[in-house]
Amino acid sequence: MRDREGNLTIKVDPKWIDLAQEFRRKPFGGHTPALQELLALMRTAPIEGRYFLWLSKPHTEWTLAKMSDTRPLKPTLIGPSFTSLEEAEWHVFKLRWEQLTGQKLPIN
Amino acid sequence: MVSVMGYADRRSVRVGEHIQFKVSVDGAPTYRATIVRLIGAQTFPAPHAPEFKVEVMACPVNGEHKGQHHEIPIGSYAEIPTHPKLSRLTSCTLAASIWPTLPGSGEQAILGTVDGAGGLGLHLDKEGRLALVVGGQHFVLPRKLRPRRWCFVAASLDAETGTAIVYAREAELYQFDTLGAANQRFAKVPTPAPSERPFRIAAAHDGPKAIRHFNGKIERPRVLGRALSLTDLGRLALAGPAGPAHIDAIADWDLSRDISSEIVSDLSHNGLWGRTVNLPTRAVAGSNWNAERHDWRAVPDQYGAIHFHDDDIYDALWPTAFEVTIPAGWKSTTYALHLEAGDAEFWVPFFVRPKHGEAKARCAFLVPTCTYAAYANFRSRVEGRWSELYHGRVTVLDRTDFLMEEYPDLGSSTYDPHRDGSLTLYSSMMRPVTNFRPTGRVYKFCQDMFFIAWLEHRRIPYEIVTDDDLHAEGIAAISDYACIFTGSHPEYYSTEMLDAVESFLRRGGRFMYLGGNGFYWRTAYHPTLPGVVEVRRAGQGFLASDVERESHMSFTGEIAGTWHRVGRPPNLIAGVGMVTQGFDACTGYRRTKESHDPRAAFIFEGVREEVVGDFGVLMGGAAGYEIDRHDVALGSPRHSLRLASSFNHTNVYDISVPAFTDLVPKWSEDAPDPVRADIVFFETPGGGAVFSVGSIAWSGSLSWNGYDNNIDRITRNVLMRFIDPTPFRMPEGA
Repeated sequence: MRDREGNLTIKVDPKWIDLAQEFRRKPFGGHTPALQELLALMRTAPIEGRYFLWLSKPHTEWTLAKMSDTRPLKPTLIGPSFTSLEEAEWHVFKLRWEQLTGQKLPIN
Repeated sequence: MVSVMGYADRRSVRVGEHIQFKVSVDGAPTYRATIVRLIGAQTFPAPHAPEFKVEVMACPVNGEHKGQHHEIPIGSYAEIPTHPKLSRLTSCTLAASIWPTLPGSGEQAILGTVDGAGGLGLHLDKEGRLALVVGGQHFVLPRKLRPRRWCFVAASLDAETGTAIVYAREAELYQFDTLGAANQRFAKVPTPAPSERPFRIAAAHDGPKAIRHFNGKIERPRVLGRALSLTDLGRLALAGPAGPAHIDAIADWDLSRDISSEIVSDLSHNGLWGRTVNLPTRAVAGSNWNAERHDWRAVPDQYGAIHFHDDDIYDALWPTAFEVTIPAGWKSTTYALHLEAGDAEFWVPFFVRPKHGEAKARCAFLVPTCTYAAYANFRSRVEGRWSELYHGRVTVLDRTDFLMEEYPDLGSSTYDPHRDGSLTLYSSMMRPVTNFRPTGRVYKFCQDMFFIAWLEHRRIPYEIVTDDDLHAEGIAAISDYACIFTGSHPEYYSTEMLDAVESFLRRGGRFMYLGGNGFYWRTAYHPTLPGVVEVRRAGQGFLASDVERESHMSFTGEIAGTWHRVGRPPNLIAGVGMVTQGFDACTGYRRTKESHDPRAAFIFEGVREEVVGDFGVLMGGAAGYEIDRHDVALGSPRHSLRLASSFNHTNVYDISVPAFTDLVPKWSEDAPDPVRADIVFFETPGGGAVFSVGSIAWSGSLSWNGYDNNIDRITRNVLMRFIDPTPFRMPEGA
């Protein structure tokens, strides 16, 4: 989990590919407890520098963006743009996986 | 980058009345204003979501306007009008007890008239040390004040000898580690020059502007007409904050008086009364709070402090750009001022009611403006670390959301901490509100527009009543109607609003609660100031500290917290009460045996499915986002019918369970059974009835499949029966 400052207190093992595959199959909805815990790690990082989605076309297109590292927060649109929230969610998952494990996810 | 923002002096306006709009534009010489009628909102693509229709109204203000940038004068303080007694101070003593929250975070004024090199004041310097400020010079006591510790502070100035004593004594009940008294004597202190500036508590002057706002509590500020000796300062420190006026008082402000108002009362003979600006928090525990009572009305002298914040905001005070008089032909529904400048836009919604006594429709949409106010400028959705966790998906934001970052002076909602970490208790609509619009996140107002689209599509005659009207007028606001129905999330309710709905039901009224997490937090409206609500999170310490000892509303004195904590759970009026929330996926409801009870036959007429609402534009179902459950133990009427229950909620819903109920959370793949939304129906003794859906997402299913679906059918069935005057009868034995 994370401590009060947001630092990780456990290490995410890059061998947990099954969790990534589970998320790929179903990004929204019921998840196994192990995946839910992994997502809790990903979703509770400090807000500074966090990925989010910029609503680039009303409810039809979302662009990957990142918060500034300092406050007041400023958005930086880094792309790509998505026409599916599921695809956008998966893209962010892969980026965060790499942040947490230091390795790229070997699945698409 | 160009930006344009605005707000109105009110949310609800009757035909024939006036509404004033305030507009600020940045980076462009002009802006375009258009008064429009809103049908639907800019949400998801058709065919399943309603089309977003914006009808331009014939209105003389439509067109290009010369723009002007206006600042928002954020930060609270108290001000006493200029008076010779305070303008021409020579030998004197300034004193108060303070509980600083951000000492060392820039210079902060405790009291005085300092304006540049002029005036006299008692300040914390930028290091957090107490300073007498006179003639632009700082006479500083070397000790740094500690955050969140009560400290008596004073400066005694002897103009005849040109000497001063700066004095501090930390004194807090129940602490073992308080610091004792410290003082420093100074010579060659200039005599203060006369100042024509108003006397301020918690801010200094920069011309007419307020600067150097104090963060923290101030208690019993005083100006005494002589230079107290060190012995006298010690006596004053030990005397505590309560008691009659000091014998030497020029002004002696007792902040335990008039707590529900903006009034700052002076106990001296000089009548130097003042008023607070930007609603600093009142009814907060003072240095002498003795852990005996939580109700400031019982022990006001223990609540004689005011908590000031440099990010308090009540009214942006922008000049009126234009006024609109609502013409006779305008239908009672939802409108907005649409502002455009360059590629920027901003919406200022408002609601039109019929003229007094001219209501024609049988039903009214009770628009949850009280909830819109509590959530106004919900900063934590952008800045908060936990938002994404309990929403179960990556946060989606747009340019309007980031206006709160570009313009921090827009202030916060009742969910957000102040800069000093204390929770925001007051939230105002008298400023631009970034999440009160028919665009962006489909939630609150934006989602409530689904109801307008549905009513228009079904050509159901309706009129509008807002929470603000219900609070102000009571049952008179709704007594013209056979049936009233809520928006998707009527979470914040004042006592007056709840009483009005209950009275309406006792007189045979019909009530459709078409949302989730309703009637949850007791909310107070200010007794005199329009457009501002107070929420105190007593009973839910996860949002803030100090919620218990400051658990009575300053606006009304009422016990604060959830209606459940107060002892009037939502189940009593709605048949259901909040269980939990989760925003990653929604689901449908499975009908129960009770749905086949003859009492409920009218509800399911034409509905053949046993599972209803397993579709919708809001995450795939009518049951979700925030959900409520039927529970007789919590007050759901014994004769109420639980008609259907949602099932298979995701485990994101489990995360919030402990925050809202005492259920043990389980991170299982399938949500535990208590995590469900219930559809409930019951009759009331006066011939009335209640229908509740216990889910925010309900409205997202109305338009599914071109409005041809069982959620539309159920909602119409209920509405048509509810506007029929035939009385409902209580079931046998109820």
